[in-house]
Amino acid sequence: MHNRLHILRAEHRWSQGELAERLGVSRQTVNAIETGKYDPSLPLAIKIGRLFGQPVEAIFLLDEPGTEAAAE
Amino acid sequence: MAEITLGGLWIKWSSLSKRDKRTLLAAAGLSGLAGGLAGAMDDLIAGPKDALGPVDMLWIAAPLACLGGMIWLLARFSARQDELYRTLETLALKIAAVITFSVLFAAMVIEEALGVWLLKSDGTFLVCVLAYVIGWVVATRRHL
Repeated sequence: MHNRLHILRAEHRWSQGELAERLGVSRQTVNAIETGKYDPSLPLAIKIGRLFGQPVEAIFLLDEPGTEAAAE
Repeated sequence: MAEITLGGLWIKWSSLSKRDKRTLLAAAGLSGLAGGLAGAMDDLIAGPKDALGPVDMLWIAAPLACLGGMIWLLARFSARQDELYRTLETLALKIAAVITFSVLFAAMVIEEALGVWLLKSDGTFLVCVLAYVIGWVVATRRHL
């Protein structure tokens, strides 16, 4: 799974620490989500969606086989 | 919220709240007390003179009670952290359990086969601690 969290955060000009504070998690958690090393729980994903005013599936994108080829 | 540093070997002290710091210090204190009591008990039981007499259950229960208190404090600490910390901790505990049981089983088989005594009680404790540390390092490498 990959996500657009770093793009949305950059649009809002928030640091990882600021976003972490708004979400009630550690800066490390935000960093791990952005780098794709950790997939957030559903409650946290929904919280992120609400914070940015977007549906969860618009932020977190499932890597399905053939997705990249289809997109190209 | 606690931040993991040194590849899973340490927690960034400045990332902790005052309450978390107090909890960790209290847990460390109880751990030291448990070690001290266990050492004193070991000396009294296994020492040259039979100072303790018949083994008093209170002596055995005291370090265990300290360890129980330490685990309770650490559980409360974990409950206050975010989901990544708890995920790492759960993974570390699973890895530690697998390593500990593997080592103990292997030691038991070797002891039976060769008739040698590999692990004493403090050795077993050391395996548990080492396995938990390895568990944290592996979990951190996977998620951070």
